[in-house]
Amino acid sequence: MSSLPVFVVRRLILSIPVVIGVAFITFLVAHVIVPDPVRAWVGLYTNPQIIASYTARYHLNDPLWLQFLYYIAGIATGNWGISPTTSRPVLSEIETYFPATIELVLASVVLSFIIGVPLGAIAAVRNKKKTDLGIRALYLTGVSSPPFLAALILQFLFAYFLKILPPIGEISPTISPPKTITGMMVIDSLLAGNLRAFFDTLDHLLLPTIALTILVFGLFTRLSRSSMLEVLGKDYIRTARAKGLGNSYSIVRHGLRTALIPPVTILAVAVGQLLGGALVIENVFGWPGIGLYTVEAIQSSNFPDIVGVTLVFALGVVLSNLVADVAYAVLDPRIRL
Amino acid sequence: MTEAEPRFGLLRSVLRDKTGAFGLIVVVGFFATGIVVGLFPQISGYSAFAISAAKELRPPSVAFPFGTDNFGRGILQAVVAATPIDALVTFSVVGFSLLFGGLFGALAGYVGGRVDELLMRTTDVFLSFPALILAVGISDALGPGAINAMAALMVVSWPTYARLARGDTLAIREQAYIKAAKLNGKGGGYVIRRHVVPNVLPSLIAYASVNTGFVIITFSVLGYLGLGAQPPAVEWGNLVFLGQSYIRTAPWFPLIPGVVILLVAIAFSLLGDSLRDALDPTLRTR
Repeated sequence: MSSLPVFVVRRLILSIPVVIGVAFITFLVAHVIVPDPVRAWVGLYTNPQIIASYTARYHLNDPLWLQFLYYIAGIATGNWGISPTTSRPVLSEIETYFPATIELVLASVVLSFIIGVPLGAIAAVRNKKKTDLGIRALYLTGVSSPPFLAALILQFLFAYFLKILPPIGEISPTISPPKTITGMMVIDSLLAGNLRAFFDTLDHLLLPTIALTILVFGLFTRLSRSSMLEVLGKDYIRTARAKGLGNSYSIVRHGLRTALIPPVTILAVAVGQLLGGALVIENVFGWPGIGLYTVEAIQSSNFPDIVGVTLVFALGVVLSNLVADVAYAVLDPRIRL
Repeated sequence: MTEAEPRFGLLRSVLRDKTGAFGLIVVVGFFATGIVVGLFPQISGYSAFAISAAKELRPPSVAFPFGTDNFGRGILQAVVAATPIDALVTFSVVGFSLLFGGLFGALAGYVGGRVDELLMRTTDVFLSFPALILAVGISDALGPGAINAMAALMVVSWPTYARLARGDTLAIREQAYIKAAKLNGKGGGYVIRRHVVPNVLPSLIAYASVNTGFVIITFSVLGYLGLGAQPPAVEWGNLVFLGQSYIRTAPWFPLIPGVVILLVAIAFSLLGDSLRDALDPTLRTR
């Protein structure tokens, strides 16, 4: 068995080829499927000198393999191309929009965990009974739902029909937003001590968060159900029951604790689904994150930004897989073998 | 299940399972509608150009069971008219992934060594992308349209099939009957065709059914984002997008096409679960 630092370093080295492969695919999308990226960056009717200068600056006359090396170097140094609609660097555009998405995803992870894990545990305890089947139907519906459906139903019900929550946006237009610190408005308004803004943004965050949670809580439920089922069959649970501890006491104190480990590690696996769902849900609720940005980019045929977003999301997934593996190794030393 | 009629045995065991039967009925209905309407488009009663201001945004009624859209066209009719595109795209994407991914995976698992290493690293890279986002990136680079969206979905779908097929092949490779076939002087192609494929196929088919639901949803998201079929062609995801602006006054417009997508996706995953249970008795206890 190797020590934890050795495991982490080895795992880091293993993800280098994956990152290069990811960059290779986005490179293919950006430079091969779209044969003339400069036209896409600066538009069709630009003076030839500008095109020539961009072509030279981005080495577009070099052979493809050399272009790829420049592309990798560009990614590493923060040069991700230029957004044709705003003429700003793609990376700084992404930096502007990403915090709102992270805020939504984090809120939804917390909610999915709070709802998903206990539901799975209940389903396991009631294995094959009506409660179990009901819970299965519930998460199957969530997982099979097209991402816009839950969002639209919630928006119609709570914002337009019952009128108890705001339908779109991040903060009411009547309230002045807090100064940008993290870019996550709920946290920024709390840091600024602006309670009025805090509760207002929290209201705006609620519906998108629930919509995203509906899509992903099933992942947690399914895993917590199967891991709880396994734990309940273990000897120490039988021992706990045999020595006279109450049924629910043995389940909660001995069972749930062990059964929590796998759902913690699936957090990272869920990141991909969460980001995909956020892409759509942000559009329904006008939540100013990367999803809203992406759709605006699609509608203005602005593909450098889309390639940038694709790359960021893939790197996010690679990183969270790394974190998941390390978390697993910390929780369960047998993995490090 | 008797030896003589294994196919009917499979069908019977899917039908005995209530959720599996529901899944099967909806799936058959989906493809049947797709084929019939694809061959005879006028059956749907939908025409993109039959616009009537008098009938716009009507709630569900006898003439228009799902209500009407902002141009007075029936939403049921639009949903039916859109079925062929959705059915064709999902069928092509899943069929391609099953064939290409399955064969690639079986080959890699069987040959092993460098080929296997190459496949595993390639799929690692593809699986690092959230599938939806990679599909958005590719179909945006290719340009909006149903064919391009389909190509993008093919690119993101096959790796999982390849991994499944590879894993199963690895397990089968060491079995005694494979060694016996090799000792008999049978070549690799023969062994893959006669022994590997029939053993790997059941779990791939079960996965394909579950995956079809995901493909339908992803295609509808591409349509919703404006990357799918372009007007005047109708497509489920695009119907939701068009209806979205009317959610306050005509909620049936975006919601009903959305519910149809949900129903079909659920049906495929129920059918997939039922098939998996029927095909692999060792999984029944789960």
